[in-house]
Amino acid sequence: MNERNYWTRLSRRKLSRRTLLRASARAGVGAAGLVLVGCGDDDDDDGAQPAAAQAQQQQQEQQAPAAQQQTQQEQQAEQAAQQAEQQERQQQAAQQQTSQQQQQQQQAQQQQQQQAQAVQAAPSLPRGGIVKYGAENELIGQSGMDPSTALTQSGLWRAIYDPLISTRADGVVDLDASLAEAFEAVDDTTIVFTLRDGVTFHDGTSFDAEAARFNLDRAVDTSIPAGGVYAAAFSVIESKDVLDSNTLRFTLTGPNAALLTNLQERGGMMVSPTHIEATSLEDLRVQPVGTGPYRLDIWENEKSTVLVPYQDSWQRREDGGPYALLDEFHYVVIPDAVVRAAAIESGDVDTFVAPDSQVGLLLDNDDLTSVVRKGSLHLSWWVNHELYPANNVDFRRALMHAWDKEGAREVFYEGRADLGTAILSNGNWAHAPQENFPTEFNMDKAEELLVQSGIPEEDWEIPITAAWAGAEPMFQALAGSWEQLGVRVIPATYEEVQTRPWANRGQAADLHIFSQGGDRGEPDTFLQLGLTEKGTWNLGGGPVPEVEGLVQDAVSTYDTEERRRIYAEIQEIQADLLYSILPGLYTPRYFFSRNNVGGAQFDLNGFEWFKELHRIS
Amino acid sequence: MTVREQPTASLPRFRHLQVPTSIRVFLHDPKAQVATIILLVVIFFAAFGPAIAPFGENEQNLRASLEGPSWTHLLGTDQLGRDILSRAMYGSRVSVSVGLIVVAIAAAVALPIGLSSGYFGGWVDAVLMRFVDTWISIPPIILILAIVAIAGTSLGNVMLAIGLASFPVFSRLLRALTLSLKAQDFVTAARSLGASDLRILIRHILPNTVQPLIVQGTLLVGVAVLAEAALSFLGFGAQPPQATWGNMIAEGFPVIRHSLWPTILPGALIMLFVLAANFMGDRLRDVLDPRLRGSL
Amino acid sequence: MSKFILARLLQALPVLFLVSILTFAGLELVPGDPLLAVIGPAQDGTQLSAEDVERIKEQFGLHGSLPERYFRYVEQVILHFDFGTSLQSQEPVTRVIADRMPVSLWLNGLALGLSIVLGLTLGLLAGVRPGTRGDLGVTFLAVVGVAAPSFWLAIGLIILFSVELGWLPTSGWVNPTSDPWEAAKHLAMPVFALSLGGVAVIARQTRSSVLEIRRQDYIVTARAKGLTSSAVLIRHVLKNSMLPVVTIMGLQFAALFGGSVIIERLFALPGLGRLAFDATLAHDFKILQGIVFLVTLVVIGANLLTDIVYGMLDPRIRYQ
Repeated sequence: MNERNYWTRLSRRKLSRRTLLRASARAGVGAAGLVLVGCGDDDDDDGAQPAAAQAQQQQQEQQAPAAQQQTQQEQQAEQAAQQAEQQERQQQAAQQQTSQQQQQQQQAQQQQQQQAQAVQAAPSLPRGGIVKYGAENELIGQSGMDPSTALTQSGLWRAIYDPLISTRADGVVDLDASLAEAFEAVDDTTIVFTLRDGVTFHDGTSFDAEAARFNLDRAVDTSIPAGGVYAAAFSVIESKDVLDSNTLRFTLTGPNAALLTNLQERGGMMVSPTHIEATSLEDLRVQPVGTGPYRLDIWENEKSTVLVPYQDSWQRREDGGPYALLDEFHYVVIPDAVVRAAAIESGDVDTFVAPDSQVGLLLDNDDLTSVVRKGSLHLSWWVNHELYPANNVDFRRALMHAWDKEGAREVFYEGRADLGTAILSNGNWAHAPQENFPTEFNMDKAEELLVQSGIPEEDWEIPITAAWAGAEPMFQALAGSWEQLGVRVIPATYEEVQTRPWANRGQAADLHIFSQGGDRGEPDTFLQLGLTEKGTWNLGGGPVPEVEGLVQDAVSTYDTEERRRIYAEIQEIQADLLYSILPGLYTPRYFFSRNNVGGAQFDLNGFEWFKELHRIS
Repeated sequence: MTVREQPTASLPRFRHLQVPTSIRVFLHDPKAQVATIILLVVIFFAAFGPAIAPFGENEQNLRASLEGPSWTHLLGTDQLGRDILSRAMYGSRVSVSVGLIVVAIAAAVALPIGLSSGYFGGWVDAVLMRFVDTWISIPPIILILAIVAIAGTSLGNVMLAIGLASFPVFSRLLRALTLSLKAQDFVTAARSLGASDLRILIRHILPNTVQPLIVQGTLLVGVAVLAEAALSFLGFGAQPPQATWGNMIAEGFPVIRHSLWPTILPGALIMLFVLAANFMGDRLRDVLDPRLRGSL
Repeated sequence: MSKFILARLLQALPVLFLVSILTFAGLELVPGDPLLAVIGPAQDGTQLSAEDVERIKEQFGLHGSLPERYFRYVEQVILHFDFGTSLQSQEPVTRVIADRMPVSLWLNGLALGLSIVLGLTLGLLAGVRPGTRGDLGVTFLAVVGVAAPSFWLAIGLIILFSVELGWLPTSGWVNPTSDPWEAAKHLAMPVFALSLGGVAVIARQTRSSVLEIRRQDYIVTARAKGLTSSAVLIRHVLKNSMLPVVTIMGLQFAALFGGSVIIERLFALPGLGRLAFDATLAHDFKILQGIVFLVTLVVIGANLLTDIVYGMLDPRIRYQ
């Protein structure tokens, strides 16, 4: 049986990539790109700011989306005194910067203070009505909503489930939305979570530390067919001990600054253990039972997905009612980008994330309002830096200079994107723009570099493919400018991408993928994928000597400033050596709503945040 | 069982015509004139497109994206600033070859089936025709998708798939023709002279099926070009950046509300080409089947 | 008549057998590499040994000799109506297809109905008065309907009727049995867009068979007998023109199923066409196999019906 499961699992994993390719191929632009790049089991691009260490600090620095900002202001008013005191201590600590231990203490203090806060009731907003969201793909039917097996995530997850630790769009740990009401880093490798009392799942059972451990164990359980998606991300958790019904302790194998942000992804989301035990794996995929403000009421594959408020949700509004504001939330699948845009214009759907090709059109529509997330995606080119001639840095640099990014920005984003200046996008807190980065479109320089590379002209040749249909025009634009440079571009089909050995780690790959990927939030995830030997986006699977150690160093410290410094160093080295991922544009995502719908926003990972959606009469 | 063959009696009787007469007769009809002009233009593009196109197939200028018609770009530019007219010229090569190759594939598969079915009759006929009946019951696009899924996405496979999906029409026609031909005197005569079955089939029956095959083939060209466009639209046809009419529409579709130009020309060309193929087929049938000449 | 129907049903049996062979062969034809590409190899780059390949084959029912595999397939399909599980979602293929089948049947059924009604009407009008402006109009429509790419028409309809006029919803599926009015609004554009090709084909066929019938001796006789033209039209022309048209309808049903791939995608209708599209992208051969088998059954059923109608219209057929 186990053997069999093993193969099923493999098959599912490989399929997953196809699912993703497929999902993205069907689409226009936008969300699909997010999921695509996660060819690994783990997530692609998610992550958060180094949560615990800088939580408080950032609360003051960063801007939060409207609704949350409101909460934040109230909090701040209430704790003004506390914070002033805290800040003073923090500054002192920052000045000293002596040891990590000190940081930890500080963190612990912060957490204790946060623990002292009462849960804030969210402000009341208008209740009632139906909101329809236009989606590109069927989510539940295709990827499923079982955290142990699902390969993609979307806004639906946070409407139905809550994670142990939630992080806000601005990267700040948001304990008000977390199932842990506090956590404390006892030392570098021990974290103690205090869980909330009185939380119930949609099936009426209670959430407690056992339930949390059950779910986290399940997230890494590779014996579940196609399961264990989070085995790698959570491998840093050596043991999980239930101290009492609302206390859970993690012992880590080493310090890991990315863990908390990883915990707020689907691997850290809590499902009713009673439900899991009573339900077949197949049904678990399509029957999510969480603690979130909405519960799944109706689901028919590809036909309808309807969420209704969970009346006993633990998060409440100021009026004392449940957190969910809508009577019904509909998730409507419309595969074609042009039709989906027409649907929001005609009012068939109320809100959606616009495909890039339709954004300009919709911005002109007075019936619609939008929320934008800048630098949400990297439009980047993945190169196998092991393979001749792309193993030559001058060659790679020449290609980058020959890529007319400004033209592409005008054509595909009507100027709404930013030019890439470093491997981490400008949406990332660790972004450090580099002077030496080949941002500029300069054919003369490109030719000069080609000559300088010493590669004979007959070898100026590169196989390339767009990894998903939506990137096709951009891929063509790229191919066109390289051909002007005199570099022969050999287009490869999706089929070849799928069957050629590039996906097999450790083998020499001969394909160069052009695609989108994000690094919003957590820098570690993105850099692990691209700049380490085992990273999925390191197509050749070869060593990345200059930066690999630095990537590991950065994630092993909780000191944000230290991390920022290391990431800056990595970006500087990368600007010179151009390994694996070559960002071209940092592109925005637009979340449109009709004017009578409010509350649309993005979460930390760039997923749609549905929890605040409401009707404005 | 799906489609009844027309009774042999009503089979069009084809006859050899003097070439100049036939062309004159053929062009007597205004629809045939239109069709001839369209086809000649497309074939001209296909033959000399690369030589006369003002721009290269993939010559792009991102600074001239989605422009309307101008003296530089007579029919505007697409999203990448490529000249739509030039790409359409390059694309006509693909459409013409798709049309011809699909017909060739369909005919190649259909010939042995149709000829032996009609000639030998009996259980050969029964088995082969059941097979054709079944094949024809599979919706063409779904059959094509299945073939593409198995064989992989490429223009070649798409042509193969369309050809395989459309051979039954040929088979039925060939069978019916063979049935009527084998009863005719010259076949009986050949047989009495001791000619082998193969020889009779190749030397006597096959040549007489050519004209009706051409008629049917002309009609199939239109079907094939439409199918290729549909598959390209779905992303299963020729891979970009190759310029095909279907690809041009697929690429223009997301920006259809910004500019109609990238989709109008390839769309119109597909329509005109299919239309011309259909007119041509109809007219050929009229001319080659004198019974109906002048009546339509 | 019942004897005729029975005979027709019996004739369908070998076709059924052939469908099973064809769909079975389809999966057999999948070259080893793409199949393995679907189900392996592992992400970590481990290569599959011959043993592993065998195991995977067993899992997907691909083990054993060719006849063994075939009989296993037939047994599952015929006795248990089981097409295996989707390679992608691991759901039973039968269930996946059963979910979508009603959507496709409604869409294609309505489109076929509309093409017949419109096609016959237009064809008759054109055929009865050849050479008039009406005839030219119909001929033009027939030509354009056959030649125009359907997605072209579809997006035009959406922009006109949904965005500009706001009369009809852009897309989506509503079950006609639960809310007929809403369903009618949702299906209006896709049905129209899908039927245009059929309208064209049927109108053309009707026109030419009307033209042909009008030349026949018995029509001339009927006229000579002094029957009014409407009586001639209805009693003789219409009935006899129907024969080739009925044939076309059978074929048209299969064609519609194909045309719905694009229409279903554009109008977000969860039917078999979209499923086939998704399955092709995902290389989900099991789903494709199931779709080909079941859709072919439906088409064969429709053709049987056509044959029977044919037999009723033309008594000669019954005794052939």
